[in-house]
Amino acid sequence: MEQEQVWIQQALRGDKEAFTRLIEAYQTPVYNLAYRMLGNAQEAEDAAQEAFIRAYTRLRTYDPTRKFASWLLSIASHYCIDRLRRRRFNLISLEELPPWQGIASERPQPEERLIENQKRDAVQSLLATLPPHYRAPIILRYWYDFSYREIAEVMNLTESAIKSRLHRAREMLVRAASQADEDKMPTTIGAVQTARGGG
Amino acid sequence: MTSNVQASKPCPQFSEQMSLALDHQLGAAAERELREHLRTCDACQAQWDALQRVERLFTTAPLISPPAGFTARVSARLVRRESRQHIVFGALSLVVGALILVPVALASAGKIVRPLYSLYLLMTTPAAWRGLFVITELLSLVESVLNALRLTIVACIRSPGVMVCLTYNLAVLVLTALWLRVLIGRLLRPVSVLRQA
Repeated sequence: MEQEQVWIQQALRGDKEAFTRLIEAYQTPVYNLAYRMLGNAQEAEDAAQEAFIRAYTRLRTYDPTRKFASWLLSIASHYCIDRLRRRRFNLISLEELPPWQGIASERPQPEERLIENQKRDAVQSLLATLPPHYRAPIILRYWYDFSYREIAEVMNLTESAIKSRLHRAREMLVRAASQADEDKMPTTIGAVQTARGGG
Repeated sequence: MTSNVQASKPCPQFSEQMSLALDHQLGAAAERELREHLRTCDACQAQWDALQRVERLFTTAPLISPPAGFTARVSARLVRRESRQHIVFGALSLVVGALILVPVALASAGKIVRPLYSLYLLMTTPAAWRGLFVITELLSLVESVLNALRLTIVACIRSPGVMVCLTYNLAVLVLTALWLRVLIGRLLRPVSVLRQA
């Protein structure tokens, strides 16, 4: 934490090397957020890069009393939400989901790897059914273990709004999972559990 | 179980409580009440089970890391973005500088035309008059320049606004020169890089 503040101060004085250290420290959280929000590796890479560049150019607006991670993820999540809105569709059905274009390879894979890929597909398919402003709180809750207050800070919303969004998002996820189970889509929770030998 | 969720809706008063319970934000009493309700309500129990399945799926999903070399790619993009901003800023300075220098150039034009005309006359008049003509015109030119300098100095002393304007013009000229230096350096760089390659 101490070291992080030193890097921030150095970056503010124009030290790019110090900012590089910050990128190294936060590349996975920022990339993961972009990946979970946007659903494919190429767009996630571009969005994560843009989030870091925006953070660098706005570093003077960072309030040191806040957690740097929250501030950085706030930039990334707002950028991803804007990007999703520009795509001109907020809600897509499971049938409309594109084939998986992520890191999964075409080669035969060991069973564990296959299960992991199916699980990742299932997670992304479910996330893709949520509108962007519901997707972000869910991601921050599950992958970053943020409290309601922290999510509210990142999203510039009240805690009660976050509670409401998480509740509604979970309802949507349950409906989407049920729908996928009924349609017997390969990328569902059921399929993952079957591949594990029922669970 | 899935069909249960769709067949009958969970009770609205417990629906949000389930979400709070998953986040451990429900008080002990409220959680006890929820547990008791789940034992008696099939729709709510089915919803709770479905929520927990989603919960398990999401809580066990790992963080995904970017492909190797991410930091270097961001740094390179940052450098590109900054140099583009410098070029835009330089071009803007150049345009502003040029716009400011246009009236200055127009004002000087009057002073330039007369000596040029004199020079023309000098070339066309008989040789006897040339010497006298040259001296007269040179004296006239020196007088004009000295007069202009005197007026500028007096104006600068009397009006601080002119001083600011001149300083600004000077700054614009310096910025324009710097920008041209950067631009020329940038134009030449690819050639040197290619040579190195």
